[in-house]
Amino acid sequence: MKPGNRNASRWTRGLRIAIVLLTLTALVILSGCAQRSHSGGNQPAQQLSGQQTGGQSTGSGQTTGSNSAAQQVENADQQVQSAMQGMDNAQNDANNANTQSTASNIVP
Amino acid sequence: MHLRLNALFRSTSRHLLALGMAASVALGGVAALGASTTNAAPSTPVVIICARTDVKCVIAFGDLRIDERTAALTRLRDRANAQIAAGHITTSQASAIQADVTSNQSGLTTLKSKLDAETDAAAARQDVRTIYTQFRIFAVVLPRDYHEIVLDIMTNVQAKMAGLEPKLQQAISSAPASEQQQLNALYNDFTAKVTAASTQITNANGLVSYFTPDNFNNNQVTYRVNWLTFRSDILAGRADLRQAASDLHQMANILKLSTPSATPTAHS
Repeated sequence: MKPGNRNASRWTRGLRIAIVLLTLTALVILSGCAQRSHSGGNQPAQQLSGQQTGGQSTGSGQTTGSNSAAQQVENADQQVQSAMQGMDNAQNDANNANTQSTASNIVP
Repeated sequence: MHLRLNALFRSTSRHLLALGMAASVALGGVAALGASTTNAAPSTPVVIICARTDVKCVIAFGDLRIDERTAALTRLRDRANAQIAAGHITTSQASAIQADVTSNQSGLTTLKSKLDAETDAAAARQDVRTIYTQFRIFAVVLPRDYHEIVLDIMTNVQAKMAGLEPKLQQAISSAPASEQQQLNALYNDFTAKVTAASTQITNANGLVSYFTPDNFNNNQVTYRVNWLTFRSDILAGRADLRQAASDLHQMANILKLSTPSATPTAHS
């Protein structure tokens, strides 16, 4: 290979690397901008989520009470009412089985 | 025999008819075949007569009885799974039911294979008899296991309520003075009913192990007495839990109305 051709080949390779690096840099910058714009549009939702999960004080200084005993009692009440419904359904099944056992209580 | 069965059908209850039919099948002679229609329940058999040596007829009768029981056990398993999915019983609690279903279905499958291979009508009748005497799916297994599911749910509800007592005391102590009297009255009734339910659940659980096909076959009177006591304990326990749940619901409502809103306030 002639020296002139070798230089041209190196220059071409360097150009390719530069193009790839520039493309990657552009992509990183663009994705960063897009992410900032996206999060900026949802700021209220983030705040609401924080209030809901953390149960922190609101701006007026009023405690939300999501961890209060009364709130826990209310949650437990809902669970108990649901379980009572499940218990009634199970009892219906049990009553049906009991009735069927009497009807088909065949003793050879 | 056929005429006698018909007369029996007219004059006695369905239960006695079923008893007579099964006795005929199992004990030989001219057999009464209770062939069900596709969706028929075991309590509405159609009378078909098997000749004394008609082994295929007896096998068909037995296969139908086995299929009914296998399907009923599958329904039991489905019900247990639904209660797990709803969070009313734990996987661990349901495991006893699941194991019972698997064990009985496996036993019935084995019995069916044996029955289907019989070439002698008397042997086939003996296999059919085993469906009743050994497995007792409708008489013992299903009623017991369905009641166990009820007991498991009761146990969990009772534990949930008992665990809530300190939290209730804390909430009541923070409630306005004007609500304290009513809340305390409800709380006292709540704790009394939760304690009473615990006793009933313990008593009922103590009887479960008695309900076996063997005891059904050999100790019928005691079995019946224990079964009635068992059901009565569950009934009383459920009534206690229902009252406690009502007390809890009332307390939750009072506390909700008398404490500042727990809903976050939106601020710009």
